[in-house]
Amino acid sequence: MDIEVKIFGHLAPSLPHHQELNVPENAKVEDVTKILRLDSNLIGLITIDGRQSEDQNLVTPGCHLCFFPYLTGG
Amino acid sequence: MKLIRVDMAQLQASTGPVPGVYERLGGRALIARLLLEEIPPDCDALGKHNKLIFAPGLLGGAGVATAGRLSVGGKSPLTSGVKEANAGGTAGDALGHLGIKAIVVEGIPAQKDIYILHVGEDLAELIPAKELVGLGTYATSEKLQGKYRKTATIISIGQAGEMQLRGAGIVVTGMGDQRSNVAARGGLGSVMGSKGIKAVVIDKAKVKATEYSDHELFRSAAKTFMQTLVNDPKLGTKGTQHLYGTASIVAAVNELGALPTRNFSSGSFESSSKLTGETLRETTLARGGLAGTRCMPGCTIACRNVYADESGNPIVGTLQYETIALIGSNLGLDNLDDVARLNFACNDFGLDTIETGAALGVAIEAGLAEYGNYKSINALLQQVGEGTTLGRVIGNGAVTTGQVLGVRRVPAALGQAMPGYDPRALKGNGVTYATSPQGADHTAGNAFGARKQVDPLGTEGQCALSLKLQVIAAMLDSTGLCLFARPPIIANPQLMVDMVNGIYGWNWTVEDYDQFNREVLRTELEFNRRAGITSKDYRIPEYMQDEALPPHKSVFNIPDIELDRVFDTL
Repeated sequence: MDIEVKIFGHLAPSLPHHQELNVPENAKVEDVTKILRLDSNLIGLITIDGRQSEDQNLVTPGCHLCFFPYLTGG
Repeated sequence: MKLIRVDMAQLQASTGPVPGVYERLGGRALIARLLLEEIPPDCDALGKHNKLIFAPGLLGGAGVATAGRLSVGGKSPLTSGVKEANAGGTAGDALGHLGIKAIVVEGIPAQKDIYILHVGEDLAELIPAKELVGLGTYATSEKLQGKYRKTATIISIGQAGEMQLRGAGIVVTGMGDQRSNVAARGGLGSVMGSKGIKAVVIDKAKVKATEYSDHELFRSAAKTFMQTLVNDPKLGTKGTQHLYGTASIVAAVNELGALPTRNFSSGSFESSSKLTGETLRETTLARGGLAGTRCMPGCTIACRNVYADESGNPIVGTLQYETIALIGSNLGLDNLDDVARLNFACNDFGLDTIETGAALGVAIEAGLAEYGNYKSINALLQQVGEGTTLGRVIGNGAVTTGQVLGVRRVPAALGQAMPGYDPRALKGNGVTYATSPQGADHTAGNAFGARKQVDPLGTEGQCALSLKLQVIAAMLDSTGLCLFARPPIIANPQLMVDMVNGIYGWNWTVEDYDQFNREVLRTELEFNRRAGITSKDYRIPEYMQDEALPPHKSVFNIPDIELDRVFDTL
């Protein structure tokens, strides 16, 4: 299935900020993290379709998955 | 330490010892107590009974990284309650180095003249300053640093403060040529204008006044604190805050659906990618601007920037998240150059960009300009500096603008505009806006950083979270610490206790420290209660409880009864 992925900050300077990605059915967020070879220790926030998500959440066809580094508000 | 009192009715300034009741207080804690002790709570905020207080935090001038913020306070003409707003720059440390606990400006001048207050070692004098009338804060700072010393800190108001507009803030200079650190919120610039004070000039101390009760205890704790900051993935030299500044969160707030867009009618801006911290950094560096600079000496986070135009000429420093949210997406603007130019104008007029951005959004909703149209928006903003009737309406903030223009959708609580987090999609902030004695103010308890503890869109746990954050904020604002420096203290409160004990020898325990922070809120709530403010005055506007916010179709639905109980366990 195809999903939309955005990567923010300095998580993966060599990867495109925005890409379409084909992932297996029933893939979880952590599977996408591995496919993209992201360092999970640097990920501070994950959202799927604007909702905060975790490694174990399933991604769905056409979803909008975002990875952010650690952030602080102020 | 010393306390300077400035009597504007008699045009006299005097220096004396710190009264016992204020000895163990600093920053916001001192302001809260002084308001309760000395200011009639129901007084006119722009009248003779209100006082304007400048106070470094308890750590000010002691050499703690990020602890040089200056607190400014008084009764707010916007909220009619207690107000503390703080700014970076060099003022907090400068006063601390001079051994000055606070400057308290009282009364109003008999004649409508304008003065500067010059403060130095064994010096506090008022000087007529007619030549500064009508100047913006940039020209004011430049003239005064030219007249006195380049190393002097200048605290000033612009045209907005002189006109006593309730959206006016107070601008503080920083290191080198840095100009625009703003104690923005609550209309304190108008209080300064009502006192007839255009600027405060603070000489740099020749000898630092700080004495340490236990220098080794202090030094060890301060070193650990700094090292913890450096090692934090958010705050170190490879952290998002340093690399992208406060704008690092634009994309995340947009994704979470809480980014104010077109007068808070959506939580997601379709052109947000043009406003992100990543875009800001890339553009800044490509044009020869600066990223990762400091607002306070010794700060290890260094989150400021100097945003430049295509020719490499600086437009404004620093362009921050709140301004990008309120002046950018909230006005439908998707060009950082436009946001930066409006930011510069606000800084020069001495306006709070949050209050002014919200007021402009309301004015656009009334049809006076167009979303996304810089020219029409700038034309409105320029009127504030010119002092036209419409400009004065907008300069008085979002609530006044809504009342005059007949707009019901006004994003404000307790009379003060909301910052860059829509409370319908970040409900912990909504609870803070709806309960804090400071009114709608994210710095009073920002839940953005607690996303993993409490679902931003849910109702469970928001009140307890807000209370916890409000207590932490009271600590930060009373010690002079930047709010981004909170992680090491939250993880290990003993660090703060050791730093305070190392300076003052108070033998505080962690429990004493916790009670100190809570007492700040208790004191502020009591002042507001005596000022006649009731729980209904704090509420989130009705339309935000009915009007679903895209994209999550969320409303603010924390029950009033829960809001009323937030401080039950304070």
